[in-house]
Amino acid sequence: MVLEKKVSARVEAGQRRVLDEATRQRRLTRQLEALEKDNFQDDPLSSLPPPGPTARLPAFSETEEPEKKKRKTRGDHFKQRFRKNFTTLLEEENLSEKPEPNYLSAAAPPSSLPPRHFCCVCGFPSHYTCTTCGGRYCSTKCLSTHRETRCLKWTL
Amino acid sequence: MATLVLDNGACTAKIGYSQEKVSVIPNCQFRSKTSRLKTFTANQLDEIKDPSGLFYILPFQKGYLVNWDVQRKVWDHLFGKEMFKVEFPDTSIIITEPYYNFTSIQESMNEILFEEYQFQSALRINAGSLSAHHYFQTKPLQLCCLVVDSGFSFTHIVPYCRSRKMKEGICRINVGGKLLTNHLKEIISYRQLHVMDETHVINQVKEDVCYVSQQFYKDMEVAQLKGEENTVMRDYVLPDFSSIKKGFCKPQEEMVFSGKYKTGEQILRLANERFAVPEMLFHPSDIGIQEMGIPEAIVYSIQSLPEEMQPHFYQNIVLTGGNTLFPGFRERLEEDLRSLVPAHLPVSVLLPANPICYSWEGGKLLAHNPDYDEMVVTREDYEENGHCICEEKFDI
Repeated sequence: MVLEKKVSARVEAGQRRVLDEATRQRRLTRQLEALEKDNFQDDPLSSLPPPGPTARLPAFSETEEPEKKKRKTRGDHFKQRFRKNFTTLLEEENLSEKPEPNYLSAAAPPSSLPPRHFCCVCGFPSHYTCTTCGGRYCSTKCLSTHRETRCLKWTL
Repeated sequence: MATLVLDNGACTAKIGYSQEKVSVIPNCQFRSKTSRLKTFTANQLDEIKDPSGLFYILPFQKGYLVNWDVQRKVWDHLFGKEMFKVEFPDTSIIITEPYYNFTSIQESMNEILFEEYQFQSALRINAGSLSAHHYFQTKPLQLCCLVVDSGFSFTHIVPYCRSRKMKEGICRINVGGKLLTNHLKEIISYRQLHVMDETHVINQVKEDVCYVSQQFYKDMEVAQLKGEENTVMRDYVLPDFSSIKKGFCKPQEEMVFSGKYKTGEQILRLANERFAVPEMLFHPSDIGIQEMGIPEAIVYSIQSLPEEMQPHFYQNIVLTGGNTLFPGFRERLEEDLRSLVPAHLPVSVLLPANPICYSWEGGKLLAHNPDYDEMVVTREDYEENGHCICEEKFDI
């Protein structure tokens, strides 16, 4: 049996990939954006084959006139302008040119308290930082779990 | 003439006639795995026998109404024969909107209320203004009040002086119930069981077991202990939607500390998750959101106001919105404020009996106010003057 010698984290750090500050920030932004999602699964409806005769049409019938969209008639109040997402609406408000206070100026400023650190594996207070991604961990056990699972997740 | 009060929240609509009681109804549509072709609207949620993997279609994004298609369907259902049977030409509506609502959303709202539904008259107002109205009605001697509204999309802190909102003091923290549920889902999925698709179930877990810690680091220590000493730990029995319709917390005397149950139920074991999740309202920086927590933001908001008014605000803080229902929320907030506010100023935080419907009840009171008719815009006014009259009269 070969005994593996434990390498010190600091020594080992020199050989590992280290993410720069910008990448770490991007990772965090993506994590936070994920927390805004309504659903993580696919729409159950989208997993069904398209209903009606279109599904049964043979593949070579391309010469046929494409079926006109039926939905168009239903209520003309659903105009294009009722179909904008939050980001577009915010841009259109053009708030940077409007007098304060406005939506942007109302956001709470950063806290004056120092940030607290928690292990990204178990959630308990942590004292150590992963050299690769900057994530926090509390023990070697959590560090190895972190490296195996999360360390470079959300990285592009 | 009837007055319909609709507190149109991003997660639930609080709706009812001003003479009657309030109903809390999901303000969204659902699709389920079991009946994939059907879309369920609002309280049709109850018809879904197996709401696992429930798919949400929400009309709101970050607290602002963007998907009118969905919103119309929900309103059609609420106003229609099955529910409130609204006689539009003979009905006035009080409807709520978020602070700093975008101009285009406000205009769409006018059009839909007056042109599509043809309400006799309408009053568009911030939910917080209704809460403040409620507060001043119950405490007529007070001049100022600070509304803390912690809802699904975000948390707002808004000072009101004699029912006028003080715009310069409005402060928004981008932490709400949706973020808390999603975060809980995320950490449970990472630590023990994949539940990313189970928003509906995990939201219930959050409501059933989460609480606001009074001594955060102390609770952290307790949550790390083994066996019976760990008084924070709870085992939550997940619903299977056949024999267990609704999840619940295992009674402490039935808890098996090894975690090996013979009953075959699916168990979630929760320890620090119980209080670390609501803690984000107090320290958003814990998950990397660079914003103040609620106590700090309250002080920040109040300090932006004239000095002679500040003591009045600290004494009249009122909590509304679903997040304030976490056990210990009020006590913790008062405690944290006490340590931030100068010692000679008294601090008082009120948690109403029903913080979710507090603003709806304020709307109900407002509908019976003698000045109400002066505040609304009638359909004739709107047809004559268009959006201008709404912009003039409504303070959004």
